[in-house]
Amino acid sequence: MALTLRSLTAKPIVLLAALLLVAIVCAGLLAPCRYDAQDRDAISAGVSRGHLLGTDDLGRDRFSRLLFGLRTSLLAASAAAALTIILGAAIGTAASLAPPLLTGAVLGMSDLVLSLPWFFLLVILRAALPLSAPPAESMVLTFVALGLIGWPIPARLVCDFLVSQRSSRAVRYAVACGMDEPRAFRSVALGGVFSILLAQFLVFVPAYVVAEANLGILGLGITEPMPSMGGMLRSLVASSSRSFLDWMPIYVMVFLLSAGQLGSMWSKRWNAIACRSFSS
Amino acid sequence: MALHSSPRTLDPARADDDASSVVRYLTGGVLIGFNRQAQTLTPELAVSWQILEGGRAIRFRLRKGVKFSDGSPFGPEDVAYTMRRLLDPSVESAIADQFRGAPGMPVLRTSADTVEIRFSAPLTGLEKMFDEVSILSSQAKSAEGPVLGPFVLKENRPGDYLLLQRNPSYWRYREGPARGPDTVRLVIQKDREVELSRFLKGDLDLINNVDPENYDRILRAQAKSAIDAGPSLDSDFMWFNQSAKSPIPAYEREWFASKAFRNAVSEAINRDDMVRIAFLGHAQPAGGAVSPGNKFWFNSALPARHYDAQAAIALLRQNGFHLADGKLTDSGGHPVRFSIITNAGNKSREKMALLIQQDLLKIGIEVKVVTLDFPSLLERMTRSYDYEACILGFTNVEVDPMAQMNVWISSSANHAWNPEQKSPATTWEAEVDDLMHRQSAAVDPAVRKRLFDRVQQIVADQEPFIYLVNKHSLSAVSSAIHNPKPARIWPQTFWNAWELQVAGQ
Amino acid sequence: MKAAFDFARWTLRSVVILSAAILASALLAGSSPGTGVDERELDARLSSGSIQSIRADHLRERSPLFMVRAVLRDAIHGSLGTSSLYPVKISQLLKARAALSARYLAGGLLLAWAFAAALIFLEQSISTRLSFFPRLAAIVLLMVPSAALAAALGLLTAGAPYFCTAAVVFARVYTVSSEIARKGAATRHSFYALANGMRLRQRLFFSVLPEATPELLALLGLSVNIAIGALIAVEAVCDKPGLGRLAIEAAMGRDTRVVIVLTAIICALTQLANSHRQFWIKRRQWL
Repeated sequence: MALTLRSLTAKPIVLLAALLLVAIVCAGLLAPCRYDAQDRDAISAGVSRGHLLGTDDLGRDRFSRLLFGLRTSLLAASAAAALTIILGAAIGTAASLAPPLLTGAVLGMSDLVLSLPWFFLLVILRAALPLSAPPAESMVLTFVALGLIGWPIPARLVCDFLVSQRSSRAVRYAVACGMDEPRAFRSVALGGVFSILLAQFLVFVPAYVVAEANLGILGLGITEPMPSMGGMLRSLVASSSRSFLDWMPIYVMVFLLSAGQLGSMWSKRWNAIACRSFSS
Repeated sequence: MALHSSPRTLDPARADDDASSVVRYLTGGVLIGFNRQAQTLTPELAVSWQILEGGRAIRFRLRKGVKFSDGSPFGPEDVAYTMRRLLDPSVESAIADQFRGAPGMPVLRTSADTVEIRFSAPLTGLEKMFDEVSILSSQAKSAEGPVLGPFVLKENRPGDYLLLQRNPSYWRYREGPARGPDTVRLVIQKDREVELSRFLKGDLDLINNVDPENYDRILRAQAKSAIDAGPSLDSDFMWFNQSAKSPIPAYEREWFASKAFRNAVSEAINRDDMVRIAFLGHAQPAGGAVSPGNKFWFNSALPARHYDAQAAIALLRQNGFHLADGKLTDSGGHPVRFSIITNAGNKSREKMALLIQQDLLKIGIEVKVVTLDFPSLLERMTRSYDYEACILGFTNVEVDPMAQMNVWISSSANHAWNPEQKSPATTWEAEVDDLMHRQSAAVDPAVRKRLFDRVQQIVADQEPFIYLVNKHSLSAVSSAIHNPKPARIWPQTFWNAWELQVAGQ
Repeated sequence: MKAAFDFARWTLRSVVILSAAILASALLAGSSPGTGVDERELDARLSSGSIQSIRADHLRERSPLFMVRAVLRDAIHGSLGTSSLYPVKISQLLKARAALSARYLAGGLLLAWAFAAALIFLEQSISTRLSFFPRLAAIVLLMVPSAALAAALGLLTAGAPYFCTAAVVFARVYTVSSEIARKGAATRHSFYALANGMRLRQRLFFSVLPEATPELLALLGLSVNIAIGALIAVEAVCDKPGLGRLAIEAAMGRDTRVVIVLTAIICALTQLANSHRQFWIKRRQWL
């Protein structure tokens, strides 16, 4: 009984998030109209049959733009975050296993990368792209650049974690119990690194979405009329009157990002209630 | 009130950005002023003046008893010093360039209360130029010394604010009933949202230039504070890159050089939608180079622009273009597509570009909108010429077409669509060059008007600039300010700062 | 002796990194489109001669070596040169703004870490269920652009820059540090400690924290960079005349000298913030 309750309580929220993700991926099939189609007789209109979430200030359907924008941003930001994490993990691990001089050099490089004004690199890359390049190309360029320059933070965390784990109590206990040191280190370290990287991934995805919003103000984000979360957030910041519908992108992103955590927390809570009800 | 950036300079001769010009306007005393409402000249530090020899010389009779803010007397030697400094090439003054139609240093003759300035050649619109020339003290050690204007700079915190204090030596305060505010605080406030919020809260008293969206908010919150003075002098327009130096393909340059192509694109743009959607009704469709807000120079005989996509398609077909399956191709089979660049962060221009994108899609033209940060945009416009079309605007502070001379002359760097031509590339550009030179040499305003009307006609016909809209002059003045006289010309809300009264003062 | 050697090595390393940062920032700024272009060139009143003169004045800004040499030469004379955006010496500009930014940075970091630490203490010493709402809050704060937060808070309180910086840092720091603490509490020796009668609070200080110290210290160092990044957007929106706003204005206005000087400052701060880890790791190895 408890098992069924746990799976049921875990399902609704995670299920909803998964459905939303599928919807976003299938945006092309579900969107009622093109994301750039302007209904000039319905500017900043409210909710209606033709426009489920109303229209923006150019008469474009918000619902379609939300679906396409979420798809673009989630996929791109997730890919960029994954690139950052993989790069950071690789560099951090290599630095932790290298001789101290090399470790110092890598960490020095991370300080350097953290300090530089990368805005200029993005401007240079954008200028290198022809004006006729499709929006998807500029999007890929922006997010790949963001992904490549974000490695110092996860690299530092991974490096420090692994260095500290070498002489940690857990490893010493494992060795005392008869395990050989490399195996003990691997079994302790891998789990820890994975949880650090997962936490970092969940931070980087929204950080890159927001970074794209900020870059868009400088003309470096995803070019219009291709919708993106960054573009919608930019409109939210720039708009003089913000309605409930303007905040929709944030509600959806928060829900998606927190669904997993909410699901597991909710299931633990119901589990506890179920256990108490059985024991009483 | 707020400034959207810190002043680049406090030297009145070098003030060419908006923030520096505000400080110059409020602190500088000028010989001849300009009533922004009536659009007429007014005596200031000069009680009268005479144009001599058809604009080759000007003689001023100076107001007596005027003192600088430090108490030192104002006299002809200060005018002479100011002119010499202004025209010194090392100062690099944009204001001075208006006088350089007569090369070399002018000859200055002074007597007890007159100054005569004699140029090497006649200058058109000479009197109006002195509205921007703030007179400096010949005794001061620097250009930021004592002033003759209604306010004097008391405190300057770069990036934070500037505090101006009433100048009791200002001639209007000494001679007449005008009193003016005791202080003017110029807060550096880049964000227009925050500026608006502060205005609505009562922290700010004036917003000189309001966005259409913010204007509607002010109208809802404090109706009496919102001011729509009608069409401003500003215009927004699009142009195609016709420069021979550009790296764009030859067939694209051919399209852009074609009058029929430009006319067709212009006809396919729905300006009424632009006014309604991008400017929320606070603009009007532009027909030509001069805004109707410019009472004297506007050519009212020019026909209004009408939106007609079918006529645009017909015109393109007549000129070798083909429309099939919703895609337009030229006679060489190249699909007609180009990009429009504009500056990122300007909401109205971004919206205009997106509206144009949709309008041109209806006639089979694929447009890509690219927003760039301003320096990158400038680089493409003025260095690499690597762009196809651009949307920008003119902020006109001058009514006289002499201020736009460098836009129309084909050899000029500011001849946006094809700058720095060694000789005019087309017959109509040669005609415009000739007309502009003739109007600059003419003295009779009626003759100048006739010549410039012809320039406007040619520009309306050839459309090197596809004029889109003339924005309205939108501003906000709080109820704490009495006696505002909002105008269409900069500075709209405080051009008469010396007579504004603040409640409670 | 060894300490002096370590200090000398750290100093040499810092100087090398700082030099590389200065050169790299000059290279990036110099190669960027728009550098050396002045918007005064669009002034229709200017003659061609004046425009050429303005262009000539800005020509050298494209050369990274020239700009680095110029900044270093002016640094020796104490002024760091003159900003092309503001008519004042860069040293004057920094003096006026550095104190303000330092207050926002320190205040924001302190608030964020204090709040995060308090929440982690409550989670680990009372119940992990207490982490539900803070985690939700952290996720929401991650998604809201700092500019939107600053715009909203700026209308409500004069302390908006502190709260916005703290909110941005908290969102990033809490998520990771909570995970680090949770991981530290899930180790076997922590369970053994509990099984042997140790209280949750004692376990936190004697078992969880020592394990988590290196990562937390690394995160502390990195949070300085996160705070600097947040401060740039926050100062711009709240219109506070600090170094963050100066950084964005200098980048957008292509004021290469100011960009180089600010990069050097940020690099120095980053190194200072992250250099403590060497000391703690060595100390921990003695334990």
